[in-house]
Amino acid sequence: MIRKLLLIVSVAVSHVQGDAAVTQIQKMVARPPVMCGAFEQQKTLVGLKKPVKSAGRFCAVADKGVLWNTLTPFASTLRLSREEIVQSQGDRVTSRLSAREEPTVGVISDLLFSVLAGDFARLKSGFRIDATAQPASWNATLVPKESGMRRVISAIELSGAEYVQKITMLEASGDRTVITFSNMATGQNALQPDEAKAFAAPAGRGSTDRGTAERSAADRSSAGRGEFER
Amino acid sequence: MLPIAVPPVAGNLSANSSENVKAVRTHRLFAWAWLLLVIAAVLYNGKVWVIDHRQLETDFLALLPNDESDPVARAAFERVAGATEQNVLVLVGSRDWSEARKAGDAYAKVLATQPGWFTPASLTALQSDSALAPWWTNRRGLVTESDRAALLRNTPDDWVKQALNDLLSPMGSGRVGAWQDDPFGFFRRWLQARAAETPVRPIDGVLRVDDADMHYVVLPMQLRSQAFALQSQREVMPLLNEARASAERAGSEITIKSAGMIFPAAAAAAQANNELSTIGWGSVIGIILITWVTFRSLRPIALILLSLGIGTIGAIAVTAFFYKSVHLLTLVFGASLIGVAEDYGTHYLCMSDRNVRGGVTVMRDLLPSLSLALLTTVVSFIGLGVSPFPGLQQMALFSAVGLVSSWITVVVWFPALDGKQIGRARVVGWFNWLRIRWLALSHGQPRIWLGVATLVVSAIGIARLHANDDIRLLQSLPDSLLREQTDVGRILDVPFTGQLYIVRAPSEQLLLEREEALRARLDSLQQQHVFDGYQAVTTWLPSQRSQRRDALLVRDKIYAANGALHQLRGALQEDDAWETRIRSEATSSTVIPLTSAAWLASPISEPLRPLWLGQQGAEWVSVVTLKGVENERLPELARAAEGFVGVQWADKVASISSVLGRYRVRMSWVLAASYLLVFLIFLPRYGRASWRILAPSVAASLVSLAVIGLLGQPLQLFHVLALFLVFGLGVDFAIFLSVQTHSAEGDVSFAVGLAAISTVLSLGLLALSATPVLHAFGLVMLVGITVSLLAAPLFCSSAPARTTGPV
Repeated sequence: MIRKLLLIVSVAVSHVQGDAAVTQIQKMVARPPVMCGAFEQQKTLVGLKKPVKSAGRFCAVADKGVLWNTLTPFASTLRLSREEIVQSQGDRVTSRLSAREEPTVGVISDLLFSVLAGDFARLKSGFRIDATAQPASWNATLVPKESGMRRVISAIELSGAEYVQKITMLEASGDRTVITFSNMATGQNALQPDEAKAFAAPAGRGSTDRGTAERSAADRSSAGRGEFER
Repeated sequence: MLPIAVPPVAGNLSANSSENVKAVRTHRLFAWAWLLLVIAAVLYNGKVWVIDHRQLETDFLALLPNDESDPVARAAFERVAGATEQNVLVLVGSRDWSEARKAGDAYAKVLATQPGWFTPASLTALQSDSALAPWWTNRRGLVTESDRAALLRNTPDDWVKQALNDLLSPMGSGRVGAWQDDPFGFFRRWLQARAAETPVRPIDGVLRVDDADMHYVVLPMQLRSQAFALQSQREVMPLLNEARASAERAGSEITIKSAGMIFPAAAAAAQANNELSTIGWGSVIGIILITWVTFRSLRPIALILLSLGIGTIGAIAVTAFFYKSVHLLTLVFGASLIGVAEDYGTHYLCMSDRNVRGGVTVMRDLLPSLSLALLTTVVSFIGLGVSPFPGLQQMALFSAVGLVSSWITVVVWFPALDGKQIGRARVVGWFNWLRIRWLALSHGQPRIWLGVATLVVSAIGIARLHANDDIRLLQSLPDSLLREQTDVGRILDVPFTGQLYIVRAPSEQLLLEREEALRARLDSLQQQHVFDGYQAVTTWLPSQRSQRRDALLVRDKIYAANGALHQLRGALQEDDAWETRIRSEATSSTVIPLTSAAWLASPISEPLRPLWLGQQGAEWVSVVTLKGVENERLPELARAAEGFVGVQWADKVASISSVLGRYRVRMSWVLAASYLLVFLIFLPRYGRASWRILAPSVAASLVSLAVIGLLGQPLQLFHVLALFLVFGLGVDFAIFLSVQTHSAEGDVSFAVGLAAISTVLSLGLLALSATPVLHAFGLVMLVGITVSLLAAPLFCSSAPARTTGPV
């Protein structure tokens, strides 16, 4: 009985909240440079009776971005890097958004990476974090500091231990996405051959795009007509 | 004392005849009347500058003609330019975003110490839900160009696949509203396309823009005062500099780039101010020195300064009376005029027989040549005044009034104030010795060689002359400033305002439709990389026709009975009711098209509002501006407007440049005509010798042109305008040199020499100016006056006047 009580007390003592909890979570989360695993996703959308379910594999590689490989209900690949976000089905690219067209591509890609990796140090700058940490697990609620972002995402809930195990994204519209992870693997061997290939050849023309952007910028400044802007 | 001191003899005492007494009395009357006018001018200046606190104008472009004869085009440029004049854009950046934010905060904190000076652009307005509401409500009619093409091309199956694909994203929809409000993502993509028009994003509570690996905090603000007002520059610039320094201290490796009219305006004003004092004081000190060396007495110096002072006071008062804003460059140019106005006084004071014959008598004898000299100079300034350049007209008025005032002061006051003392230094002897050597050297054989050499050098130089009227050659910005301005423009992807399309139509809807037609052509040019992009009202405010057409297209392709929606329902395993509900919400017949009123009322329209001129008389007018245009592409863009009804390409840079060119040619003809006119005026007085009066100026003009050619500088309007002054002053010299009846030749030559030296000291000093317009003037004056001085004795020492009476 006393042992049980002590256990409860110790649990109570080790249950930390607030900033201290975030610090503790940061110690707990592994944050490996390469991380792959399986996911199951369930989207509950306003107006739809049934949730939309999908499953597949994902990889997050530091400084390279995220690969989101949906296998069911049909194959579809989403590749996010700081340069672009590319959606493809097999070899066919169905949509592509470059950082040149949408400057927040890098931010979005970094955000997804930080959420998957549980990188609270980075998440802190954009979110108000309300966290609770137990000795072996934690959960946290992230609310965007930015009102513009809050208009789209009202909160993100994360829970996990060494890795993030569950993400719940609550959209301002009432739509909700729940993702759970399993079979986490880390290190270079975590990548399957086709996944390694996807990261080695960064989705499409990312780097070329940037080259053109820089060149045309240089051309423009050489035109030197800025002086007439009034 | 070196000067020969002669006991002062009052002029009127030596004048015995009653006619002389009468003349002196009349003279005195004029002197008092002039005093009243001078007092009036002083009082008026006091009122304008001290009581009304009027500001000096510093905008370089204000000097240029308002050539747009088309009032709509003028309004368009004024609108677009006026909207940006008070803008100040500051980028505070670093490779590390958090460092950039710290520095950005430090910058903003310094500016916040003076809340009344700037209006910061607010973030909250753009992010409020109500801002986007009109578009959200009207989303049915909003489809991007590429979606419109896809709607015509894609099968329903393609749309279903895309919709399902969107549902697999782990990121949520990233949209406004719920998934069911826009299941196929048309509005989301439309908004994305609008967002892509600017690279600036609100991130972490500030505006951010990225450039390569740099992250910048964007600080957009609006000056509360005018960028071209000297006073606001004096107050605001130190604050901006302090903010910059504070930001640089706040983070590591901080890069700051600023742009806005106030920066070049302040730089140009500082430069002009600087030159105003160096050139102004340079001439004054030079003239004091010359007068001192010549007369070795304080009174002549005081008299000369008096005539110059009154000239300046009169010039400023009259200019301020006729012009609401007096330009700083007018004063710089006017400062250089001191040397010209000084001629009249020096000329009188050089007459060594004043003590014998009396000041008034000497003045009466001098009057014809003094008047002629004034007349020719003023005529040449009027030549400047007939140009359509408001700045030059102001300078011409300023100069003409200044000269006339100095001249009157000399004529009516000097005989009474000169104290009759004559004193001249040894320098006169030296000067005459030099003059005689020069004349001897240039007699006979050497003179022919000199003439031939001058002609050959002139021919070579003039053969090398090329004209370039590009207005951009007239701007002088420090390189670093120019680079920052271009960088900011490039990073923020700001449109140019020197060239634009003007669209007009008899009704608002027709205007929007015409603009859309133009945009279709621009879109294809953009895809060919002719330019980077454009800003147009219809991106946010499509015509009602286009809204209806797109709404119909979506209804037919997506919401038809067996269309994409129906198939999507199957994939999502939803029921009939669901399909009916989504369809009725997306296609209900109560389409309220987006209106210009709704667009104007939303804070979102703020950046594009300058492009909307709305109703102008019987017409509706809007403007399309371009981004990332290279000069060589301009003709292509000009051609793009062809074939569209109501669309007009307007290139302000080119139009001002072409006006400059047109007037360069026109003023050259006016100059030639002025020579002819003056020749005709001289004919009765000088007869066949008239050409000798004009020859020194002609020679001086040719040599000046040759020097411009030899220096490789392009010939511009302002060189031609300076040739007007060379004409006026050169003729003056020749006139003075031909008056030799009542005074020794040496006196006159000496006076002319002094005048030339002081003119070179003042107008010639402008050649040192870093302001291209003033430099062009100064160079021509420097060369022209020197050559006039050297040439005048060669042509005129043997050109006695036929008559001596007044003309």
